[in-house]
Amino acid sequence: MTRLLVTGVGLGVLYVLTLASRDPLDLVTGVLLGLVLAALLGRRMRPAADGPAGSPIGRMLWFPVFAAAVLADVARGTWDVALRVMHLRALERPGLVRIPIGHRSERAIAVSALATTLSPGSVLIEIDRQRGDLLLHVIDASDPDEVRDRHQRFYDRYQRRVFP
Amino acid sequence: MSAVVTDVLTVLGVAILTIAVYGVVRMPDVYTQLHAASKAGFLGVAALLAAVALQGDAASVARAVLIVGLLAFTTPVAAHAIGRAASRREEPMRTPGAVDES
Repeated sequence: MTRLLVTGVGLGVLYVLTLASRDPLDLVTGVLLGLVLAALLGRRMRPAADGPAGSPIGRMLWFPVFAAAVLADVARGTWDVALRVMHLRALERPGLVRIPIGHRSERAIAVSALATTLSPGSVLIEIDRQRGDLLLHVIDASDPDEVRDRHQRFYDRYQRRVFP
Repeated sequence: MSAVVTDVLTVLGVAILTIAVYGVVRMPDVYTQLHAASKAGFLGVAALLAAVALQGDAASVARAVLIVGLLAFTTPVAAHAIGRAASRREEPMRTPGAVDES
């Protein structure tokens, strides 16, 4: 019930922000629409299980570092893809690479997938729970082990403290 | 000063989006096209919205932040959905020597 209310109010706030409106009637309309949507889609919006996290304050303090690392990765990936598109860097061996999930929680897997796919140069294709890995398409897969190491390093340095 | 930054961001955004469109033509298969089309576009649109936010009023800034935030969530999901559909339809990778650990 609490989750339904929080989701409904959150969607209502999003509605008001989208309209850039200060009219209370718009807020009420947004919250009502949000509650209806949350009630209809509630079962499909099951939150992912979180991992054994540290203190909430520690996670909040580390979040900007994680967000900055993701943005830096997006900028680096955009530059790399732009060079390959403009024929300034060779498109040699793109391909599908398996990245081990390890001991990540459900939420950490979702965050890893989102952060990895946001950055140009890597796209999540599938989550293989039986084999315990993520199948990614990367634009430079000439050394798959280096790709795996890079993802593990990113997780260990930036993500583990926020989304373990 | 802010007008110069706005112009730079606008040119940057248009340049990134142009490269993204050219990437769709240049890349050999759906997987590599995804890198250019869906996600390089994110930074391009973000740069254009940053330019709008610099010149606009508070409502424009709020909308720009909101759109960038929503794009940060929806762009990867859309790219993943297309990539997974291509994989399930067994779309081939057309680059010679492509790595396949699937």
